[in-house]
Amino acid sequence: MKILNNTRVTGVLNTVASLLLFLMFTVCMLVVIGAGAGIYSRINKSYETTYGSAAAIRYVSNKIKASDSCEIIENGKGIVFENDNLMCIIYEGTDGIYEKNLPVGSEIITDGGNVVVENTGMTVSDNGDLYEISVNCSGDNIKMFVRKG
Amino acid sequence: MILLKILKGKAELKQANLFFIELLVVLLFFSFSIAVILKIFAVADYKQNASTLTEKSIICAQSIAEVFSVNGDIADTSAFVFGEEAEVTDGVCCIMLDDDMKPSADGKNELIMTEKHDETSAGVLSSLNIAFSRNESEIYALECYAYISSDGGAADE
Repeated sequence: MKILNNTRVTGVLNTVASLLLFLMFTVCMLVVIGAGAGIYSRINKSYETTYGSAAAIRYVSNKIKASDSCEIIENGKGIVFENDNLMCIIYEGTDGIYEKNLPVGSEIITDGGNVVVENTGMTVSDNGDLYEISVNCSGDNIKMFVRKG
Repeated sequence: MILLKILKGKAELKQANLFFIELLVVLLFFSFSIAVILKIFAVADYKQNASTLTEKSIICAQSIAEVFSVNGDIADTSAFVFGEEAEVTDGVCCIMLDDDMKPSADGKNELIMTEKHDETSAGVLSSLNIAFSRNESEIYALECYAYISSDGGAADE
């Protein structure tokens, strides 16, 4: 009887120990998955804000350098570039930064353009011989100065 | 009868032991995999931080170069770009920046700007070496020039 009881207890202990080991393994895997998911989420967010902002600011600055003349509109929320017979309007819209191309002399309306960079805000201001471009993407603000002419 | 039960118990015990051993082997392989995966995560995080810092350094350097090309003076440039005039000693200016490239005494990024002037009869050619570094390793460097003619105007590029 005693031997039977011991065998039963041993069997139960074995099962419990196996389950505990399995549980420890599961917990470790969940911790690794959680850590990995957190790191991936941070990398993704950082990538979107940094490269979204950098792409937007470079795009606008290159446009300023390549254009014959620039005019700031909408209290800094838009800028008009003129090159030969083409007029390009870059402005901040609801979904990001928009771009619209029109013939020279057309009415300047900040509507109906194509999205260039999503989820990004833009402000352009005049600082004497320089333009100040400020881009905001998901709370990350980047500022850049571009020489006029 | 009792003997049969004891033998059955021993057989069950052997099966449980085999299961244990198999589980331990599996855990061993998974622990190696976890070690490799965690290292990959750490390296990916580090690389992302480094590339973000490089990108912001490049944009900041470009801004400094553009402003310097207009005024040709290191003190005016730092005042314009960072909003505060930095101390210049023998044509060298050192500013500590945070990860957003804003001046901060506790910043871990170092910006060193070195200015040189070559005076000519027609004007002054100023050169500025911009270097960003962190933990004594260079992140990004850029050299730019500004020509201020004798009548005081900046030359067109």
